[in-house]
Amino acid sequence: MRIKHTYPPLLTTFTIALATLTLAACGGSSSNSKNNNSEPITQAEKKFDCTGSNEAGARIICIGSPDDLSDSAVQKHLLEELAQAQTGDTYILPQGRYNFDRTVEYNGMTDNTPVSHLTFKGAGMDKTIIDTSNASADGFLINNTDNLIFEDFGIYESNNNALKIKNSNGVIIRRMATVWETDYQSTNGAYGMYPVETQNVLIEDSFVKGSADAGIYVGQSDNIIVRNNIAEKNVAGIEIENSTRADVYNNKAIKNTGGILIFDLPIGNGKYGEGVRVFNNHVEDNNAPNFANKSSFAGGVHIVPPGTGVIVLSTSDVEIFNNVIKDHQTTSIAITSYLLADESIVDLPNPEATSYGSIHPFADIYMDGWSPLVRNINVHSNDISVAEGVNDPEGDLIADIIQGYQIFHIFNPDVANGKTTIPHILYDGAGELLANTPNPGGEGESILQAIVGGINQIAEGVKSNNPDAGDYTPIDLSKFAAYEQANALCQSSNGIDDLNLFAASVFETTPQPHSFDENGNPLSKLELLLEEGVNEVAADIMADTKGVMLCEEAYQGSPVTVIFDNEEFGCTSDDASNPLCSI
Amino acid sequence: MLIKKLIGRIRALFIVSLIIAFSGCGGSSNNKSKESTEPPTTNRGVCDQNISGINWPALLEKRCELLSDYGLFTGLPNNPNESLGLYYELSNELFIDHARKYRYIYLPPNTTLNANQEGHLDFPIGSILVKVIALPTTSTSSAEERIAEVRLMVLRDNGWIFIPYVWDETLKDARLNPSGSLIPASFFANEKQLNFIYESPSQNRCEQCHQNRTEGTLTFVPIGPKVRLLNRSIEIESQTVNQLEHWQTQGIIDLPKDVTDLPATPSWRDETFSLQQRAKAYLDINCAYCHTDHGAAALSGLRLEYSRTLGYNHGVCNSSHGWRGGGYDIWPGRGDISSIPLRMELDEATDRMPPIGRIVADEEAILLIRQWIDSMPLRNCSSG
Repeated sequence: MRIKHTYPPLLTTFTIALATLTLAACGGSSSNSKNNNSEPITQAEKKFDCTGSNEAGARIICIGSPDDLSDSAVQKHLLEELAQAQTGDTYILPQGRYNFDRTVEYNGMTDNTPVSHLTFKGAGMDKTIIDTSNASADGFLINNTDNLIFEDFGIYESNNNALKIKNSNGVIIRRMATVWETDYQSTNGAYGMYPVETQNVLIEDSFVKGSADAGIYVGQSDNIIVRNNIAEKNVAGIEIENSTRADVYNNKAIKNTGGILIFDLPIGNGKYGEGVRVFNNHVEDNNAPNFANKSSFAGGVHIVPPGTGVIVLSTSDVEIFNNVIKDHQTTSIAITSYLLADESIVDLPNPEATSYGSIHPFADIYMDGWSPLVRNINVHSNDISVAEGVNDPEGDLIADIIQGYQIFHIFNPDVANGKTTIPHILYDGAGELLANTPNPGGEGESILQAIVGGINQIAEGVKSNNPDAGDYTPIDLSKFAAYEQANALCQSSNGIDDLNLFAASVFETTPQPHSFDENGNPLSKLELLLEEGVNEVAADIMADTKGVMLCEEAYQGSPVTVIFDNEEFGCTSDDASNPLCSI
Repeated sequence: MLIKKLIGRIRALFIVSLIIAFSGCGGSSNNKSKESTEPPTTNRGVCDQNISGINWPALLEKRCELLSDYGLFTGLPNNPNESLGLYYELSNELFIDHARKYRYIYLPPNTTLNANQEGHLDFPIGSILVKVIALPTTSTSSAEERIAEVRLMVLRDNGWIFIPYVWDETLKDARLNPSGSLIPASFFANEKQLNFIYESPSQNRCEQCHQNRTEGTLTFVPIGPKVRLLNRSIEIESQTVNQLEHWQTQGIIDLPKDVTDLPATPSWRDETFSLQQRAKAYLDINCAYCHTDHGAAALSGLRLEYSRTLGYNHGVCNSSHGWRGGGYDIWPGRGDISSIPLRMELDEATDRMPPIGRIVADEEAILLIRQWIDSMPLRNCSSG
């Protein structure tokens, strides 16, 4: 298809009420987030109980010694042993709480010999506690090392991330705890369990509490299983970001700001996410204030609206099913394109650009392969419920949406009577609308395709005019094509009763003559009704009456298998007989 | 006879229990872990050889207990006149808490450095890079200082290895310290009293900044000694000469072409260069060892090499993913709220950049970066 070098008059300023996304400070004002501390952790006595082994390739190294379990001795011993780590080492951490003032780190080679298969093991997640509150950076940081196992200990009070693993194939985090003991404190560290740029990651039977960011965060990774964990009182309970093939099941996410997040962000590292299944989780009362904010202009997890169960942001191929999603004061499941986070994704390209980056705010990132849209989302068979009185939506990201619905409730008491303020399956629909709207005067391409096609054309000009520009990767226009039934957003059997709970998109997804104002700005359904007096959308505002989210055929994800040496994990391997896996 | 037998038995028992103790702690011979105050043990093999001059065999074989075992200096290591190596200067250096650095290259006998057409530097096997780090004791504007640590990189057959030493004032020598240490520091900087704990890196931490993953292959590499940072003028006997040219006349380096045709990064303090050149030069040495395609911070998507075009990947309107402070790395026209200078300024572990080696902020540089961003045409990154 040839894209004309003309740009739709529709897209001039694009200032919709949907998104005043200055991303200012959220939070702090939640009414029903309680500050109940968990049970105090038993303070296990310091105890050395370990028999080492010098067997080549399977050394067992007992950290500390029977006659010296001082904090400094244990730390120094571990760091010195790690400076001469060998493949197959197991480091046994003694029982007790140890105060470290250095990061425990390893970077993949000992004197340039590559090392893999390192295991760190304690006496139990409540019995061996490494308190890294005096370390200036992460608690544990292991890079470039394949086949890592972390088992049976806790990492407490890290000033940054508790357990960060980067660039590793094969990571098992099992019966671990990463904890910040003071609830909802903005000075708590960042991520609890944080594998990034990894493959074959299994996080199971673990506990994360108190992170001022995400408790369990898996980023830029592939083949991921997160199961049987408890994530509580974090800003984000569990977050899968820019990752492919993840199964998140049988976890509890409670009392966080947001329960489970599936994000695909324009990071620019060539790594984008898709293919996530979220099932059989218990997601309840994630109504904590967003305590991540550090500054008045913040964006990031800081964008998580308090009181949200599950959020899907610009990630495609996601199946959310069989979860209990209970008592969220804002919304149970929010699914949105990146348009909600940043409107400049649909800015017009600049024909005068002399470098690729200056063609469009997102030119580099589109060329990098990222798409702002959500496609192939199937939300089904979830048990969504909200107790009476739990209805207090908030969050700067969706402040306009909330306000719009509040106004609607006031003016349409008969329609809104008894219903929660905003939809409990909330879909932005704006990205889909622009993908479904033909470029006026074009040749069948969508508005979004006209924009990215324009970027490609200008890039070609930059390349021929600027010898220093180097090569570029043309943007794949098919990613911006109109939605087909096969890649729609579907919801079914979620306990949506259209009485108390309703599911709806903020924008109509099929363009109508009334979908845009005279300046070409798309109009949300609320604006259509309240400002333009388009009465036929009234019913759609409180329910998905046009069937935007009803599908005959819906996306079905496939089970993930994590491979660690010769072992396989997942619903079709070690968990095959688990009823939670047999869907 | 009986007595001898008994002694024999006791000895045997002793050996057995020693073996148990050994395997019990994974073969580590020293897990006492208290900071050693005793003089080093005798009979330390190649480290103890009585060689006059540099102990090359030891450098290629062992991490010796004391810096002096290698014979790299004839006196204090922060005095270039007492070094048996080649003292060198960089156009820009990494800021580490106002610490001063003295850098030396030691080339094995009868070897030279090589630079290729692109300005990549090749070191012969056996090369030693030494960085001596001293902290001011009264003020950054006074010459008074004390040595904190001495870091060695040695190029062995299979790559660079790291040997970190911490200075021991009573020994007037530096002691091997693979787990790093914390050193109280107190001095004035920019008329402000600073009191903080300076952190010398553990051996493994060295590898964090020095790692490179080109096409998936991990190597550890030097950061400072690059042609573009060595290609600068220095003073030799009151004469101003180009450092690389001087080395060439001394037979220390083989250059592929004239120094004026080789890459050179301007000094960020040199006001004859544009604000942008200076700001990018600062970010290059302080950030780009990680913020590059093959560096430790590749995952952030932010790339800050001097040669990188100023665009999204260089941080322009690039939201600060992974930092909960949010915002945009470079928000043109808004130096006050751009994340790069903000993270250079904030001190908490979750915010601080660079994440290691910076307990206090480089205020002069923050000002420069803010001025540079302020000088860009205002753009509203968050168009929502």
